[in-house]
Amino acid sequence: MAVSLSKGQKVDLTKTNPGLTKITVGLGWDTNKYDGGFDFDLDTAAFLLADSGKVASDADFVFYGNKDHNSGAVKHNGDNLTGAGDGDDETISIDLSKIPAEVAKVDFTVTIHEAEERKQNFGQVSNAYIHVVNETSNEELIRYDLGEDYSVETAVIVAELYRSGAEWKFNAIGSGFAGGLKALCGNFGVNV
Amino acid sequence: MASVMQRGFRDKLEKHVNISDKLTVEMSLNGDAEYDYCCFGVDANDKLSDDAYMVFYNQTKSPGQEIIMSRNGAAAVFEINLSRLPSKIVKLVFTANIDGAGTMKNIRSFACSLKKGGAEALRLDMSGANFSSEKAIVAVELYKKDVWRINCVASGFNGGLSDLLKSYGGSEVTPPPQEQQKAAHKVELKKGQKVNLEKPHGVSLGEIVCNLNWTQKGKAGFLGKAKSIDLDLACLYELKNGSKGAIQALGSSFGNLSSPPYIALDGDDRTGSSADGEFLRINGARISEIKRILVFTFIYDGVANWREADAVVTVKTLSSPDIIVHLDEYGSSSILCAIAMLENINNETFSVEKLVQFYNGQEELDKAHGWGMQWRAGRK
Repeated sequence: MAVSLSKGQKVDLTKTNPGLTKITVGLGWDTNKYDGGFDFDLDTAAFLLADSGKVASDADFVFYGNKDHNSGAVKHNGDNLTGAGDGDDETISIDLSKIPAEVAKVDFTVTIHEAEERKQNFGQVSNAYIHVVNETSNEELIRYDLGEDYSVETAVIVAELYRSGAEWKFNAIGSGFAGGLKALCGNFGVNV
Repeated sequence: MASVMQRGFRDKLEKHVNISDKLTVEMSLNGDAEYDYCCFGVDANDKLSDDAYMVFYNQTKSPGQEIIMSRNGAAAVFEINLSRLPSKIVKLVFTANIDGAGTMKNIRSFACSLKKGGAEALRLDMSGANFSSEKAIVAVELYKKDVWRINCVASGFNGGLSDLLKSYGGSEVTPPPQEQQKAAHKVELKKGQKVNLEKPHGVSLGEIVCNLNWTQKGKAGFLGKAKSIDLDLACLYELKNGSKGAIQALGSSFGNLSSPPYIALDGDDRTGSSADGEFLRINGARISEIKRILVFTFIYDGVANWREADAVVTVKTLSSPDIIVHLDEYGSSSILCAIAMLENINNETFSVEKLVQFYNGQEELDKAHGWGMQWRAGRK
């Protein structure tokens, strides 16, 4: 039975699941059932951050343009361009044992591609969620439904995995921002 | 000063209005087409599980009057009381759609506002540039997730009202009768003026309804007595096969709609107290067997005070504008008034001519119009 989180809640990941190393972080959403306008292309990304809250190098930003982290710890499994279909729209595979020691946390984000040009925002997205699945057993461990708090934002820092001593914990952040992926990159020290 | 909403805007309603108050959602579409407005009260699955919670021009109130629709010029005004809604209704969807041709990109403007006590709290403004081929707009949704919230959808469907009904699973709702849709289209005939009933190409004329209505004046002054007038609606008919007759309450000749003469009179409203008056129906599908129909009214009881009766006959069909014949000559003390003549035009449609001619009885009427029947006195 997965732990269901609400915004701001933190929960143990590895402590409650001893021996867990390989996880899949899946994100899903429903968009626009209306006619007119453009397809919604939502993109997930993972930022591998140092204690400072910044990336050590641009290579620590894993997204549709850089799918595999050098360490082999983080792998983006592909870009869904339309948000069509049930279940996870995009997934990121993580091997906790391979995350470099200098990475203190991994932030997961969702942004809307060309949001400004397409006049799109998260108020038009519904039923968005993130969940963490044990890749070996396919068991859902943690789930966070984003709820109704998003309006005209175009980027959301959904959640964060962070070190707590030798363990990994999960934080349901759910913070929305304007400015899309570019603004997040600026925030995390990625040069774009 | 109202906050301006944009497409996608969401917020808790309580940040903008006191939701225990009566709230108003107002919408107005500006352009060259005809526009209809609707509020769908849907359940947790986004479905219209109860048709009574589709509030629109043909059903302007929800069962508990939690949603009441009215018009303010071009604008539709929905007065809502969220706290009184049954718990199964968790979302109110406010929509506008084009009735007929055209798409939303052709509109001049669309405005939607949320008001409390007449003051605007939230406002959305759009124009044709915000749309492409949509024929229906979902303006805003008020929905309950923990608390009442607002979502400014400002997006639409190309399929208009039927897409809205499909989306909310309300396809069972009877589409609005055309009679209502064209309520604004009326043709008032002048005496001697003749028009043809419009007939949709390739289909039958449908049922033609002649309605007679008149006002019953209340008692005049404190000591006055109400004088009731009973007007009877009736007609003379002539079929193509030469058979002739009268359809009138007098002598209980109520006619028949499905067999000759294909004309029937509804029950007699003796007092005029029925708000709808009297109805004479003609089976338009059998037009080829009907030559002409002379619609008339006569005063069975009471004095011949036509001014007081202020009678109006309305001829309605499915596709034609309503044709209004006002009995606007009052001088006569004769008890019978020929209202209108309907004549078969090429077995396709009827022409309607306003007569307003007064006679002293059926026999005199018959003679004046060359019907040629034998008459003797009858009683109801």
